[in-house]
Amino acid sequence: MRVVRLVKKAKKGSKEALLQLITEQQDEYYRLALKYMGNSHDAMDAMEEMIVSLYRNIQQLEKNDAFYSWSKTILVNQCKQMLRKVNKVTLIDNWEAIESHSDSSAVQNPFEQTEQRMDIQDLLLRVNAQQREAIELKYFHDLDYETIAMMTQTSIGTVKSRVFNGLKKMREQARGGFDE
Amino acid sequence: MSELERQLAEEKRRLEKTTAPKELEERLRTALEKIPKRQRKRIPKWVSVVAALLILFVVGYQYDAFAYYGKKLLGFEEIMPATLAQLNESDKGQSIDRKIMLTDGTELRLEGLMTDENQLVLYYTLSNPEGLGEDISLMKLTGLFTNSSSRFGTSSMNEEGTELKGMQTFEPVSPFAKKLTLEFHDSNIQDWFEITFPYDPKAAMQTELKKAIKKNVQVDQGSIRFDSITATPSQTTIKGKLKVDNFDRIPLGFDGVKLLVNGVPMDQISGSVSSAFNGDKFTIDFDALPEGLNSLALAVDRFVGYKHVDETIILTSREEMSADLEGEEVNIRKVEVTSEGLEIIVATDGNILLDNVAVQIDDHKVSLQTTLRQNYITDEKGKEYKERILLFDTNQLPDAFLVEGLHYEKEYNKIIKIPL
Repeated sequence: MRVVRLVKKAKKGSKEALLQLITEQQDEYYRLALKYMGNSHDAMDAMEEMIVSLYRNIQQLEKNDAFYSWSKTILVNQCKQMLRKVNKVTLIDNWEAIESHSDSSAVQNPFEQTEQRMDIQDLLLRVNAQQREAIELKYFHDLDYETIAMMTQTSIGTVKSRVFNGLKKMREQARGGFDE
Repeated sequence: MSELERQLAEEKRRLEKTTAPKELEERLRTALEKIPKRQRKRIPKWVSVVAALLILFVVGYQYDAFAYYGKKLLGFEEIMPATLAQLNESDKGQSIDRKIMLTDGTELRLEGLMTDENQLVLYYTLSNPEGLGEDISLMKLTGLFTNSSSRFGTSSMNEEGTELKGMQTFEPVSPFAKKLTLEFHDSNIQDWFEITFPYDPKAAMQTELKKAIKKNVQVDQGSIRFDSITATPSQTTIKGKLKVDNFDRIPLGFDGVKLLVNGVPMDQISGSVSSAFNGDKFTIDFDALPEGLNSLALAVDRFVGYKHVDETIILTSREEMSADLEGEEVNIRKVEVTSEGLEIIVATDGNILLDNVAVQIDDHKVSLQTTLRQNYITDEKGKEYKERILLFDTNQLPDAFLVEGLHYEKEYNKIIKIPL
């Protein structure tokens, strides 16, 4: 497998192989960083920090084929660390403020806004920050429960129940807007 | 699929229209290039245990690392630092004379090496009558109980571009290794190679002095622990542990740490820090000790410090202005609102990082969003400044510029005597 081969090369110290691994999924990484950081500058800063950290720690990666979920976990941790530095106090409320800010600035072209999209983003704002994070990571960033659990430093069961309860609340909030 | 999931999927497709900016790849590449080549993990613990047992049991084995072995390496005078050149003059090298042909017709010849407890120095020649490309990257040496990463190297090419003489230093190799394998990468043909050559540990140069230091120096945001000093004919190495929160906030590193020999500071060759589980480990290399040693001391002259200033600089005009933050000069070069937001250009000494910066607009505070660009510039008096553009997420002109603290180059002037 190609990814495994590149990971092995990267473990031997090849910067080029590591860069190739990242650039092949650069849009996915970027969107993930953007979700947390809220703007392009900080998202790219977080990715720079991530690649430095990956290069220094890649030998600790045990399963070579888990490179992508491992590296994305590092990216998310990096983003949270940077946000903590900016805000020093990390209360859940601040997180919500940061995240809702990031959601709105992720919209690149305001003319693309549709009624329906506003609905779903609006609904997402009505569940709690942890539920929203889990739902977004799963549905918008295609990450599996195990990876989300690592990123949010909790158990797989908790992630599942956050997604389940969050979706449930969103359905309730839609108040019959969807046919269920 | 429920209606909600269908909508989530649709939202995902919409979000996927956001793609990474074009400059991202270049930024990542630059970030990677800036990191020094990875410090490989040291020999695993079980290997050292086995090694220790071997030393205990193999009583009959007389490890003779103290014998001198004579060989002068020719043709490397130009790239040899003074100390190594002197050692070479007194025949402290060993010859290897192994060669390997690379796929593009370039020949790599390993000419010789010099080794002691602090490092291994390898000398090589690349030649190709058709002309040479880039120098190869020597990555590491492996062998029995040996896994030594490369540290630094230099090389010089002849005028015709057909022959290159190079030198590369590595972490020291084990006295049990009788054969060493060099791993290297040739960027011209994008390929990895290996070459194995015999090694004679008996030809290693003798360590002249080895002492435990075990002293701590407190700095503003942590402490530096100096563990040991090992002086060999080729260099002097100080090892220790570092627990300083803001160590990497300014580029100073260990530049302000000196080794005083008979009261005179030695040339520092390099300093490096590698992360470990229980804090960071550091190594500082100095030149070899001279003869006639009377006293030895470490001086922490300058190191990263932190001071709380909580300063409010009132921005009276949009012209250039400067402020004094408890003795450190901060120049505000420009304040303007652009399409990106509020941009403030600030210049300070190269070794200053402002901490927790914000602007005051009417009665509210806007925190720093990001730093856009950073340049080192030299003014007409030859003083170097660090200039950066600070970006704030607002389109109003501010009343004041707020700084909570400074990471800066602080004079500690602490001396640790090393008893001889």
